[in-house]
Amino acid sequence: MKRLILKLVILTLLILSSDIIIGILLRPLISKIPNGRYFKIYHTFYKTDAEMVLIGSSACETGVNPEILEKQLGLTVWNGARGDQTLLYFEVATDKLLERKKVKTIVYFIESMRFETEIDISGISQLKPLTIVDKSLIPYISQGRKLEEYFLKSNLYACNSLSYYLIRPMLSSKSIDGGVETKGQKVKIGSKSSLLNYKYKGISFKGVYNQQKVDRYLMMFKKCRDQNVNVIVITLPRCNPPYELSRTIDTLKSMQDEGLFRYFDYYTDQRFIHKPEFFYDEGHFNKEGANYFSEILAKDLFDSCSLRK
Amino acid sequence: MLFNSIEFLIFFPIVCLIYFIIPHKVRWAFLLVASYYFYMSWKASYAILLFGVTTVNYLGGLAIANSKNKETKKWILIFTIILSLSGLYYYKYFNFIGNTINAILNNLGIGISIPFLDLILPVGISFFTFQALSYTIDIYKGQMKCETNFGIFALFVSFFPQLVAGPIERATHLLPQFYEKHKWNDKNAVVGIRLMLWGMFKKVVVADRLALYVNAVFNNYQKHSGLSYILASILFAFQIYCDFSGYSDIARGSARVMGFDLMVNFRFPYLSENVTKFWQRNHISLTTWLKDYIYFPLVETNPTVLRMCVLIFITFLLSGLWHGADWTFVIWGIWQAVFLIYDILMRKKRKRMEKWFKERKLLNLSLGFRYLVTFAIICLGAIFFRASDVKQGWAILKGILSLKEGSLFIDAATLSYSFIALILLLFIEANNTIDFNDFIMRQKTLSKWSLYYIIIISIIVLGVFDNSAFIYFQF
Repeated sequence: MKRLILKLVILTLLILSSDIIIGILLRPLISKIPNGRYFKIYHTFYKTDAEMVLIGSSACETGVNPEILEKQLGLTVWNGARGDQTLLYFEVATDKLLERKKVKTIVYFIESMRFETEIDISGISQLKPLTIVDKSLIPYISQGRKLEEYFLKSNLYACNSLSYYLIRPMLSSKSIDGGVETKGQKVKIGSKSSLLNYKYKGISFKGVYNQQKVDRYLMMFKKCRDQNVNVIVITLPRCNPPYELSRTIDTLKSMQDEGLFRYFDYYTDQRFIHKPEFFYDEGHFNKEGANYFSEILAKDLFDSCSLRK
Repeated sequence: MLFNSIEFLIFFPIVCLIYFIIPHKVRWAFLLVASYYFYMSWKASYAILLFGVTTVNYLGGLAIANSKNKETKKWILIFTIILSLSGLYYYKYFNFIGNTINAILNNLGIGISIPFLDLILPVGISFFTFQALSYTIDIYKGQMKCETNFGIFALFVSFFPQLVAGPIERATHLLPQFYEKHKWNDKNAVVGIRLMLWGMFKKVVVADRLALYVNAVFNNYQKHSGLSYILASILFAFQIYCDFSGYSDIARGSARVMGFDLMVNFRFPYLSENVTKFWQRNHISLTTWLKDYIYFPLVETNPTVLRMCVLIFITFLLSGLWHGADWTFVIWGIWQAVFLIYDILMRKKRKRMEKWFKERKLLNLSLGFRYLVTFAIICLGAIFFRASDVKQGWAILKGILSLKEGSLFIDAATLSYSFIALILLLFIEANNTIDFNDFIMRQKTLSKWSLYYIIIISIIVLGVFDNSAFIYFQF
C-alpha cells in the first residue's frame, strides 16, 4: 500500500511540476505570439483603446472594415470579432471592455437565428489559454461546470485542444485572425466556387425561442448603458438568406423600443441579396463586400446615431 | 453516471474505500446499493426495469432448478425469456416495428397506424437483459447451480462497472467472485488503475477527438466529398473501437481495483486477417453470447455448411438489431454476415492460398494485404452503424464508391491531434497480446513511467472533456 501511494505521489508531483513549468513558459509567450487567435483576444480584452469596438463572430470579423468606419465617423475603431463566438464571448468581451473604461460604443453583430438556438459553450473554450494570464476568465469559460472550473486551474489543461492554434501563428505567415494592421479585420479575397453555383432554397428555421438567451443579451446591454456606453446591434446580410422567418430579428426590432440599443437589420438587404460578387461564401463578405457594407454602415450610423465625433 | 465525469471520480474511490473497510458478509449488499445508485443517477425510475429483469430471471432460474420435468423446464425458460425481452421490446423495438408496419400499411393504402410512443431507451438495457438471460439459460443447460441469494444475484445483474455497457458477463464467471473475500491488493490496484487510465485515454483523447471530425462529415454529409467520406469512415472505425473498448477497459479496471476479474472484451480487432477473426477479437462478450446461446445450440444438431451459413446470417441479423432498432443496424448486421459466410465458403481455398504464399515467402505480405482488406470491409460496414438513416448510409457509400467530387475536408487542429493520439494507440494496441496491462508489464521502469506520464499529459492536453456519453450506452 505504501509503495503504491509513493508511486502515485511521485506521478502527481511530476504532472504538477510540468504544469507549473508550462505556465511559466507560456505566460510571457502568449502575449508575444504573432497575429493569431490569442493576440486578437488579448488585444480586445486588455490592450485596445478604441472608442468603438465591434463584437461578433467570423461574419463580422471578415465583413466590417474598421478603417472605413474610422474615416467616416472620426472615431477609433477595433474589430474585436472572433470566429465561432456567440453570447458567451460577447459577455466576457463586454465585461473586459467596460472594466477598462476606454470604449464609448460597442457594436454587437447578432446572427439572424441567434435567439432560436441553445447557448453554445464550445466556442468560449477557445479562450482557455488566456486563463494562464488571467484567472478571472475561468467562470466565463466554465459556465458553472464544476469539473471545468477545477481543471482550468491547471496550465496544462488551459492548453487543452488549443496548442495547435498557439503554435500555428508562429509557423505560418498567414494570420488566423485579423491583426493590428487591419484593425482586427480578417480580409477574405474572392468568392468560393460553391457560392457561385448556389441554388437558392428558402427554408423556415425551426429553432426553439430561447428566452434565457434574450435575457442575457439584455443584461449585457444594460451593463453598457449603466456605464454610458452606446450599444448598437446589427444583423449582417447574407448572400442567400436561408431562413424565411426570423424571430430573432423581430425580437430585436421590438426590443430596441426600450431604448437600450439601436438596431440595424441588413439580413435581407436588397443591395447584397443574391450578389455573390460581394461574398466570400454564403455568410462572409469578401474584401469588396466588406468595404461596400462598411460604407453603408458608417453612413447609417452617422445619420441615425450621430456617432461622429 | 459516466466514467468520464466528476461524479464517477468521487463515487469510485468512496465505493472502494467503504468496500474494503466493511466486513465481507455485507459487502455484496453495499455493492448492490452502490450499483443501483450508479444506475439511478441516470434516471431513477428505470431501476424498476432492472429490478424486474433481475426478479424474472431469479425466479426463472429457481423454478428451472427445482423442476424435474424436462418439458416443464423448457416452458419455464421460454416464459422467462419472453418476460425478460418484453421490456427490451417495449423500450427499444416497439416504435421500430410500429413504424415498419405503418409504412407497409401505408403502401397498401390501409389507413390504420400504430401509435408512436415517446420513450427514452433505458441505458444499458440490452446489456443487463442479455447478462441475466445467460444465467437462466446456463441453469437450463445444467451448466451451473441456481443462485439462491436474491441479493447476490441482483448484484450479478447490476454490478456497476459493467452494468451499462458490458462486458456481458457470464454467471459462471462472475457470480462466484461475489462470494470470494477480497483483500486490498496493491497489484490489483495497480493493474486496475492502469486499465482505467488507458481506457480514459482511448475515450477522451482518441474517440471523442475523432468524433469531432466524424460528426462534422456525417452530420453534414451532403456538403462533403468522397475523400472526406473515406477519411471519416476510417476515423469512425477507430472512434467506435476506442469508445467501446475504452469503456470496457475502465469497467475491467474499476472492477479489478476491488478484486474482481471481468472478461477481456477486445483484442485490437483491426489486426485481423478476415472478418471471422475480427469477430473473435471484437466485442468478445456479445459475440460469444450469440455464439453460445443462439448459433451453437442450433448448428450442433446438424452442422452442414448451408445450415451454418443460414445461422450466421440469422445471428448477425440479431446482432445488428441488438445494437439498434433501425434498418441501418439491420444492414450492418447483414454486411457482417455476408463476409462471415464468405469466410466459411472460402476456408479451403484460403488454406491453399496461404500455402502458396508461404512457399514463396510472401506470407507476411499477403497477411498485410488481408489486414487492409478486412479493415476496409469493417470501415464500409461501419458507415451504416454511424449513419442516422439508410438514406444517409447509401449516399455515403455511393459517394465513396464513385469518389464524389470535391476536396478533402481538413479540420487541421482536430486531425493533427487525432493522428498524434492514433499513433500512440496503434503502437500500444498492436503490441498488446491481452490488454494494456500486458503491454506495460513488458516495459522497463523508465519506459513504463514515461508512458504513464505521456498518457496523463495527453489526457489533460488533448482530451475532449464535454462529458460525452459512450456510444454503446444507447444499446
